[in-house]
Amino acid sequence: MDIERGEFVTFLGPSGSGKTTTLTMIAGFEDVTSGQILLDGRDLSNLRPWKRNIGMVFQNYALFPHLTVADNVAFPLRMRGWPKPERRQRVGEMLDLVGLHMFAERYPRELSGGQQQRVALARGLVFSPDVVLLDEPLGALDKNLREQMQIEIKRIHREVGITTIYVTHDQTEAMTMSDRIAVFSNGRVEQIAAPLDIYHTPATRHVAGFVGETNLMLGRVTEKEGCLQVAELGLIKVPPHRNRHEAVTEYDVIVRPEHMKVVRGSEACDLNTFEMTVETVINYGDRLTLVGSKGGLPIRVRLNSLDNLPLEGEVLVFGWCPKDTHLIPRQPAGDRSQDRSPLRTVAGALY
Amino acid sequence: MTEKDSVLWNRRSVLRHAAGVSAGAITTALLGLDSASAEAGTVYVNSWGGLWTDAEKVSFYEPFTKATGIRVQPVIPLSFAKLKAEVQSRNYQFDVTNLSVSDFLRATKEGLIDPIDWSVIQKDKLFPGAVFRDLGLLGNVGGTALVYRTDKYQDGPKSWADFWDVKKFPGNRAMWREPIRVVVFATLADGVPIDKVYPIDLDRAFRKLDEIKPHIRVWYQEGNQAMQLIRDGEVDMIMLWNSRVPELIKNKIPVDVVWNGAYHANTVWGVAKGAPNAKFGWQFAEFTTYAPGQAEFARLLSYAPSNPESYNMLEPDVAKWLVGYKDNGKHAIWGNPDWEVANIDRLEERFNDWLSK
Amino acid sequence: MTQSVANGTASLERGANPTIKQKQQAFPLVLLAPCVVFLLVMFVAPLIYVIVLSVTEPRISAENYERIFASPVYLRVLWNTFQTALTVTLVSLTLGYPLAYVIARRSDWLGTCLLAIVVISFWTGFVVRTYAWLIILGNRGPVSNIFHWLGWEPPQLLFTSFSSTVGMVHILLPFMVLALLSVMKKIDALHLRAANSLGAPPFTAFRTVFLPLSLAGVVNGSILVFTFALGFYITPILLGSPRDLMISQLINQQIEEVLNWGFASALSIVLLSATLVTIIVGNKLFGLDRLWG
Repeated sequence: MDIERGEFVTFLGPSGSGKTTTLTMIAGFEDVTSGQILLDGRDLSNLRPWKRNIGMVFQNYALFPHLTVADNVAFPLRMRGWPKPERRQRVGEMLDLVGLHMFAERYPRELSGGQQQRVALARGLVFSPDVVLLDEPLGALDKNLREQMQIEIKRIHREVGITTIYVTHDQTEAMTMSDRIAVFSNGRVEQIAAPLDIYHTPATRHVAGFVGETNLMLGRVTEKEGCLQVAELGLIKVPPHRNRHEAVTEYDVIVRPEHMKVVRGSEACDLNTFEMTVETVINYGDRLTLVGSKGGLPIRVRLNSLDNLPLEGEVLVFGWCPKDTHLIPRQPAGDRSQDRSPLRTVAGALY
Repeated sequence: MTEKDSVLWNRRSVLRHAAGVSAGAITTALLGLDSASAEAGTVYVNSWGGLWTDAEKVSFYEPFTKATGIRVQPVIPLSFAKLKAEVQSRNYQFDVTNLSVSDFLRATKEGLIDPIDWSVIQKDKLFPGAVFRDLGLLGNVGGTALVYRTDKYQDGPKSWADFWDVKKFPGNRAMWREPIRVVVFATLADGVPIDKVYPIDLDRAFRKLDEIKPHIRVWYQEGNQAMQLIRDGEVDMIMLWNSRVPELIKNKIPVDVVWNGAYHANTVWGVAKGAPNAKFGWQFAEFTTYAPGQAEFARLLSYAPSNPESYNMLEPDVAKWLVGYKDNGKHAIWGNPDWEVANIDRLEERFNDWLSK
Repeated sequence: MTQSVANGTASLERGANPTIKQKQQAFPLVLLAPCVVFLLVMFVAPLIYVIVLSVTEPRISAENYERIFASPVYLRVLWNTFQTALTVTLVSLTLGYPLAYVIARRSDWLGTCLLAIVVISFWTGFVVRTYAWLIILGNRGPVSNIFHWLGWEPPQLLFTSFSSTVGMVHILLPFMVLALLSVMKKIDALHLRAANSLGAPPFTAFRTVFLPLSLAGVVNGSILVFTFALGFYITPILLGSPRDLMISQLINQQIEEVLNWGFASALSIVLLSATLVTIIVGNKLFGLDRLWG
């Protein structure tokens, strides 16, 4: 995994997927069991955490309770032997950046969660580290504040331009903030790509399932060109697949719910269609999700138009356009080439 | 706490071993004691606790209950201060107490003790001299003597003057941090005859104490500590309660007692002023003066009986460690409660000052 | 006392909605009542009684206090008491801090074992522990034997200020350790990590983060040990030299042996005042109260 200078990369994954462990290794608090971590081409493995020049922001901020806001932010500069006047000026700039100038002489316990988070951010950035690591920094905040802070962090990142690694299990957060997302699962990096690529062309079933809602089916290769056999739906048309392997006989077939639509009349010639009973209608106000199942396969359909509101229990014909089908080849048994450890994956350079 | 054993040793015998009444007579008198007039009730007795209370149970409480039907409940530990507190607050924990003669005298001066209730006490059952100034009845006798290790000194010290003689008797010494006895011994060591010790010339005593001060390894305060000092050979000579010596002998510690110049004092049984069970209390106090009980107590704890008749009931093995046996008490000095009560406060202050310099 | 509590409640209520104000005001007072009564009965009343005794026994006068200042012994013993207590506190802190640090930071067998040792020594009576030192430091004890074995004359260990300090530290160390531990346990290890990641090597992180955060424990433990040590006298009597006389022993003598309760009360009040002055001066010098915040 290579991270470019100034890039904002998010490690996304459920808890226990190894994203925080990886972050801790980058920070130097955990030993790397295999592989390497390079910074500007320099191996970090033998560098103690305090020599790495990496800023870290912790989930519960870890502000020093006995120091004022200004002294907290000045701490890394003090450690680096900055003279007092420069220190004070730099701290002032940082507090301006996070909008906490008024609070310089307060103690952390006198601040709100969001304010404390901003102090932590200022403290992690004040010494212009090569990389700043943020470990679920918004996990402790409520929803509104979290969205506000997402924008704030993004703005600060833009202004400061420091390479940032951001850990979260919140896919929305990952989608809105990142230049690129690395999706972690079971200690592996499943995919690293720009947010939209992750969404539209997930590399694995896990990625597809974790990022956004998904209809997932199993398709078998048939003799008929351009078609796959899905047990629950029958024969479906699929787009020409770019890297088709001879060995691959099965595909994970992924269709996003928003690509499904209700088919009325006879427009359906090119679509893959099926008939399904609507079991549940979930109304989000600006959109609807219909939930039903076909032959035991759960299917979700998102409708952005609220005209002709379907009713629960109604039987409708649904369909989707073959070009909106995303195929992921299933590995033949024995081939585990995708089982890449994140440790090895990270063994790139953090530029 | 054994620290308070100290009080036990402030005693003085008013009588000096009058012999006479036969053991048989007393026993007969005891057996006939008012078992008929027995009235169910309880008397609360202040006691030291531990072995002391166990010995009192066997010697006094149980026979007393058997004879009178009155139950005895010990209240632990013995405390002079508790007596003052209960009389002042009129909130009684115990009726009867057993204080050293000096403390007892002080208690009567503070108005903490009721005079003897002669309507209860049967005068004819008391041994001669059992009454202390119409205020209480004599308990046992405790002594403090010079005790030394015979493995250190073949030809041991004979007097307090020898204790002071560090050239003739080199070795570690310990003294009890108890000012009255210490100044008494210093006065004796300075050559004052026993009958001229009181009133004590304190200036003279402290001058003499200055001589020995550098040679005193420990000023102990606690009975068990004293035992440990002599038992483990931490010191070779010690000012010790002679009642503890049989225990050392039994444990094969080579020690002997110098009876010459040993200090003795009685305890006195009395009833707290206004105590709710005063009548039972006096009945109990009288009972403790009987010879068999005192003899039993001496057997158990080696504290000397005040009732001379008790000696006739004791085996020589037990009796030889007691002050009333043969010549043991011939050159003893008996505490003078009047002088002690009058001088304790200032003496304590001066002693603390001297000790802490 | 009640007055100040009422005031405190009132000031908290300022600005509250007037309609619910009355209810709120009454409620905390009701809750506080048992506590206030307890404090009054258990602490304030006896203290007042002692103060009264000190100027009324044996008669109404200041003679008890005059006596304390007239004789050199009481002030000297008081001074010695404070010196001893201070020494014991400093030694306990020096030994207790690293011990508590290891227990707080290590959750493995080492930390557990050390904690167990500290707690178990709590269960052993202090007289027993004091006697143990009599044997260990005695002239037939192991220390002495080691000296003999090496062919040296053993130094006088027992019945010195040294042995007395050792004995008192042994008894009071668990209090220091537990007071420190209660604060150290609350220090988030993340703070040290944060300090590391911000450029502080381990010892600097300890000095700039852990140490200041543990100061509240240092102050609590020190005050606890210091005040306990002021009241000690059995251990110094058993293990110390006669010069290690403690003021509480004199107070005890006055109560138990001399029955001069007025003078004992006066001595107690002087001890209490001296203790308060010490803590107030300490507070002025080191700003202890801020650490409790």
